Amino acid sequence: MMERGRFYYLAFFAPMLILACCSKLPEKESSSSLHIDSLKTPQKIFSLTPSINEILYDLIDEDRILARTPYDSFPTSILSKPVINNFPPDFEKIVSYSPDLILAKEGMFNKDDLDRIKLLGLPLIVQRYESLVDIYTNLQDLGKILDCQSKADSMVKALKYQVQSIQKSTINHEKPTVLILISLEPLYVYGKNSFVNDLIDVAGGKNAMTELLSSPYPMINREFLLKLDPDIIIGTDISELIKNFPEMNFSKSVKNKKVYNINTDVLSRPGPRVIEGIARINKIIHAGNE
Amino acid sequence: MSRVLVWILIIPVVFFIGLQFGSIHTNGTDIWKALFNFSSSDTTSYVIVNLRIPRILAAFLTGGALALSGYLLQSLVNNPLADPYILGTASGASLGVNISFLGVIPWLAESVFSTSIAAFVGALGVTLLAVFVAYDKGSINPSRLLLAGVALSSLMVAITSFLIFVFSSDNKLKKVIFWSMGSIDAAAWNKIPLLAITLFVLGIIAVLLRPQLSILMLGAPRAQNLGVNVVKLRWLILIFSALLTGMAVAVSGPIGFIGLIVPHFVRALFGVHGKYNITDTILTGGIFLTVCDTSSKWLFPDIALPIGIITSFLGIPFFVYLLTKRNFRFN
Repeated sequence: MMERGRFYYLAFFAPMLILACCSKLPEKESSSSLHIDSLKTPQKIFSLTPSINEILYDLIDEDRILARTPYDSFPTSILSKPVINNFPPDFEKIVSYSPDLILAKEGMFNKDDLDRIKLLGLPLIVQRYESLVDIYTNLQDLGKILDCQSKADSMVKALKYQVQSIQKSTINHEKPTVLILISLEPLYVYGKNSFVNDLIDVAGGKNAMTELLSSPYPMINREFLLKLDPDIIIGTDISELIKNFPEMNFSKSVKNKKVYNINTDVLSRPGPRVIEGIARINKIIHAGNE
Repeated sequence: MSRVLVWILIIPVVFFIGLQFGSIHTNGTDIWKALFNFSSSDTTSYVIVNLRIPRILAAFLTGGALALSGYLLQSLVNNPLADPYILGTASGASLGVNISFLGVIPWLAESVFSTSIAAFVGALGVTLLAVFVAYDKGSINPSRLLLAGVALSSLMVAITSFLIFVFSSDNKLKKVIFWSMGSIDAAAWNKIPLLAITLFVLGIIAVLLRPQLSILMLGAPRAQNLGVNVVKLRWLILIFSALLTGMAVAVSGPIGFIGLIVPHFVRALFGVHGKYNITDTILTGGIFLTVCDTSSKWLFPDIALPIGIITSFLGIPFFVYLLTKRNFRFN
């Protein structure tokens, strides 16, 4: 009797097993595998990422942009758009606006959140922005999707031209080491495999972070900062730096007064405005050369 | 006497090894020069004297303070699970510090000392609140104290989370999260004296009170009969614990497990009523945290790893091992 009973209760677990198998989510699609051509030209677009919104404003008519995130700040006309939360994504509100295209930057959101958007039947395109070349590629992809290829092509051309002219101007100059801080307290910096690394390189400098650490945005300790001893530090005031880390009085950047605080939005948002970021870094580097 | 010898040998060794590690490469000569031939214009000497030594001292003092606080609380509530967190002391300190970080109270300008003061006020405030709830017929009821502490701790955490949610911006959030995991990287000489004096003074008083603490663990009625002023002792323990925890949290942020584990470790090694338990607890706690800090500098050289992570990784296996030993006893 016991023998038979023992296997009957397993039957209760069968429905759970079946449900478990059904809940397997579709795999994450990279931007390249999505069928771009199969979309009709989207007219109602929502970007979960502020930097992509900046690109959209340059590419298309702003009426095609449905809404903004709480963190969007540029251009100022975007502030009049309705707000939809992106951390965490306000799924219900997104659905209520019925966008026909949603854009996001890779790495900014959980896979689960993105999958949920797709499960809700909303067309989602995720783009990777890890280098300058990525910006060119993504711009052109957006041109194709949004049916403004000629505009996108001219933007890419202009960007490439501006980048190259800055690069040319730095050819015969020495390249100082530059460290760009994300925050001072705690001490987070732009690492070797970060997007900003490219910008420093183009602007005529060398990223002081030469070691590849586990994260593109590592948190480093103060002795390491002193050890790195970059020629130029960007991202804080000299007074704040010394207040928090008095040992930096021994560093080149403090002794030569090459600590600059600039608005790091133009650095951290991969879009056409990076040229502003590059120009600013370039200016800082050149101020030293004169 | 052999005990004193052991400590006299171990502590300098631990300190000396701790001085070796850091991002900037140093060797024995550098350390000798820094200690005995200090020149303020030499970077390496500056680093050793103004970064590494305060860091080791901060680790040692914080470890000692948290361990002592844990020992006292475990005697008070007669419960092996008690630690500086359980009475809400550490959560109160965290709340104070976060209020200061997030700028919730605008005129509470942020300076080196305001964080310490905010931590201390938070720690003491919540502990007193727990005591107030637990006050029962003229004395503190330990079981109620524990429960009140658990409840208040959860409340502090909830309020802190709410404040973070409402008041934080991207930058502040990082700061808050980083602080909450404990960090010795920001140690500086100006944070050391207050903590050192507190630990020293309270440590000595605790040593003098040690016999009474042992008797207290027999239970309040018996202790009362044996001449211990239970009410006064309980108050003293609470105030000491709040002071020690508040200071420690103000210097290094909340660091878990030391207050819980080190007292048990000491009891397992030296007996539940060991004569030198207080000093042993302080010194063991100090050495433990210093070793954790040195390990983190050794294993993860350039990153500022929050020390709370290392204390958990090193402390918990040890603790589990202790629990499985057959002679683990609390009472």
